[in-house]
Amino acid sequence: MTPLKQLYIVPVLAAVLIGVFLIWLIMPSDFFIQTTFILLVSLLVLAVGFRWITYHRITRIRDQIKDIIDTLEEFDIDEPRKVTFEKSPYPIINELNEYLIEIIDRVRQNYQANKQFTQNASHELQTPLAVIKGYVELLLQSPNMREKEYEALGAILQNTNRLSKLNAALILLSKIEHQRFTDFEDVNFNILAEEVLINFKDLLFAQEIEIQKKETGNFNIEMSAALAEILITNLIQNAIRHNESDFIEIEISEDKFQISNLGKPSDLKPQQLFKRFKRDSEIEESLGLGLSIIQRICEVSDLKVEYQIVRNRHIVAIRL
Amino acid sequence: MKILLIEDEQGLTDILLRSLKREGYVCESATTFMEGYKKITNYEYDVAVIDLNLPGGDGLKLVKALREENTQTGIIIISARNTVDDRIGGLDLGADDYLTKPFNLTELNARIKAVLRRKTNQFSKELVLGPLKINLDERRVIANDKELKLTKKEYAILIYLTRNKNRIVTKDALAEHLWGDYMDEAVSFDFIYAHVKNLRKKLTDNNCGEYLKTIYGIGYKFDV
Repeated sequence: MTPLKQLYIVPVLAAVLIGVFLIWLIMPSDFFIQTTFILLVSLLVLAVGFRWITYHRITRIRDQIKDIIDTLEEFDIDEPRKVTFEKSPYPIINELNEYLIEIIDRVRQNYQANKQFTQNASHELQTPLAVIKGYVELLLQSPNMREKEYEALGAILQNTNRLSKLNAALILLSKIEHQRFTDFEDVNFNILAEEVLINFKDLLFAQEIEIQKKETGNFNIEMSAALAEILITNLIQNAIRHNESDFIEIEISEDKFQISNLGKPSDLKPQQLFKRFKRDSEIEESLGLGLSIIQRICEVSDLKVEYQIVRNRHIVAIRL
Repeated sequence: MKILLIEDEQGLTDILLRSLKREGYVCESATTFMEGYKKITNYEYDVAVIDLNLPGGDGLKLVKALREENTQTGIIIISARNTVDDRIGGLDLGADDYLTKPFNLTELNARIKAVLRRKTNQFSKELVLGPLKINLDERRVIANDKELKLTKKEYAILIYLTRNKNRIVTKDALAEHLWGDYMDEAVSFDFIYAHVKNLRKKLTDNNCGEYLKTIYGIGYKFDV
C-alpha cells in the first residue's frame, strides 16, 4: 500500500466511529456498550497506529527528497565528480534517482561538448584568419605594387580584421554564457572606472569629450574581476562611439552605476538593441555585440541592466 | 641570428618563415612537439617562436624545457589561447613575450627585435637610420644632430616603424600595437593619422621627412 492510500483510512475510520456512536445513541444496552467499547478502543488503536506508520513513512520520504535536493544543490557542472544518491527502500525514489543521474550525465556531456566547441572554434577560426592576414601582409611587401592592388589588399585586410574581431567577440560571449570566468572578488566600480578611463585618455582627448563624473557612494559587488573590466570598458566604449556631444556623464552611487551620452535619434527600441547583431545602421564599424556582452555579463553577475532613451540621451544603468 | 619556429599549421609556418627570412634571420622550423623538443635540446637559437597547441604535446612544456636548457634564448609564445591565465602561465615559465593569434607580421617582427635587444648585447643601444639616431634606453631621438621632442605615442610609432624598416606597416597593426583592443578601428585610424602627421612634421623640420612614407589606404613605411 502506498502511503497516500493509507491516508484514506483516517476519514473512513472516523466515519465508522461516528456510525457506531450514532447506533449507541439509539439503542442503549449493557452488552452493546461493552462490545462497542472494545470495538471502539481497538479501532482507535488501529487508527493511531496507521497514522503513526504513515507519518513515519512520509517523514522518511521527505528526508530522502531533502537529501536529493541537497545533492543537486551541491552539484557543480564543472566538477568531474560523479553524482550519487543513497539507495532508497522506495522504488519510486530509486526511479527518480536513476532519471536524475541520467539527465545529469547528459547535461554534463552536452556542456563539455559545448565547451570543447568554444575552444576549438577559437583555435580553428583564428589560425586560417592569421594565414589570410599573413599572406596579405607578405603581398603588401612585394615590390612594384600598383595603387589598385593596394586598394584591394587594403579591403581584404580590413575585412579580415573585422572577421577576427567578430570571432573574438562571439567567443567571449560563449565564454561568459558558460561561466568560464571564476576570478571572483570584491570589485569596486568607482576605482575600476577610473582605471579603465586611463585606457581611453588619448581617445577622449582626441575626440574632445569630457567625462563628467558624479560619485555619491561606492558601488561594490562580488563578481569576476575580468568580466567587471570588460563590462566597464564596453559601457564606456559604447558611450564614446555613439556620443554626439562634448561630454559623457557617469554617475556612481551605492546601488547604481550609470553612464549616459547624447546620441542620434534612434528608431530601434532600447530592448531590441540588446539582441545580438541588432545595430544602428548609421555606424558601420560597430559590431552590434557590445550591448549583448554587457547584458550577458550582468546576467551572470546578478546585476540588473536598464537601457533608456530620454530626449536623445542614451542612458545605461547597472543596478545591484 | 638564428630563429627556431615551432608551429604545426603549415600555412602559417610558410608565411612566418618567409617574413623572418626577409629580415635576414637564419630560420629553422619544427611542426610537432617532439621535433621541436629535439631541436631545442640539440641546437642553440637566439629566439624560439613557439605555438602552444602542438601535435604531441603542450608548447608550454617546450618553454619550460628550453628555459631549463638555456637561459639565453629569447622565447616568444604565439597562441590562439588568450586568457589571462594562459599568458601568466607562459610568462611564468620563462617566456619573454606572448602574442595572441591572429597577429600582424610586423608585430612579431618588432617583438623579436625587442627580445633580441634585451637578451643579447648584439643590438646596440643606438639605432642608426640614415640621419636619424635613436637611443633606446634613454628614449631620445636625434635627427641631424638635433634632438626631436616627441610625444610618447609619436615615439612609439617611430620605434614600431623603424623596427619594421622598409616594410609597410598597416594602420590596423599600428593601432593594435598602440592601443590593443580598446579602440574602435575608425577612431584609432583618425588618431594614428593625426599622430603620424605630427611626427612627419617634426621629422621634416629636421630634414628627415622623406623617410616616412604614406601608403594610401594601407599604412606607413619607414624607408632607408
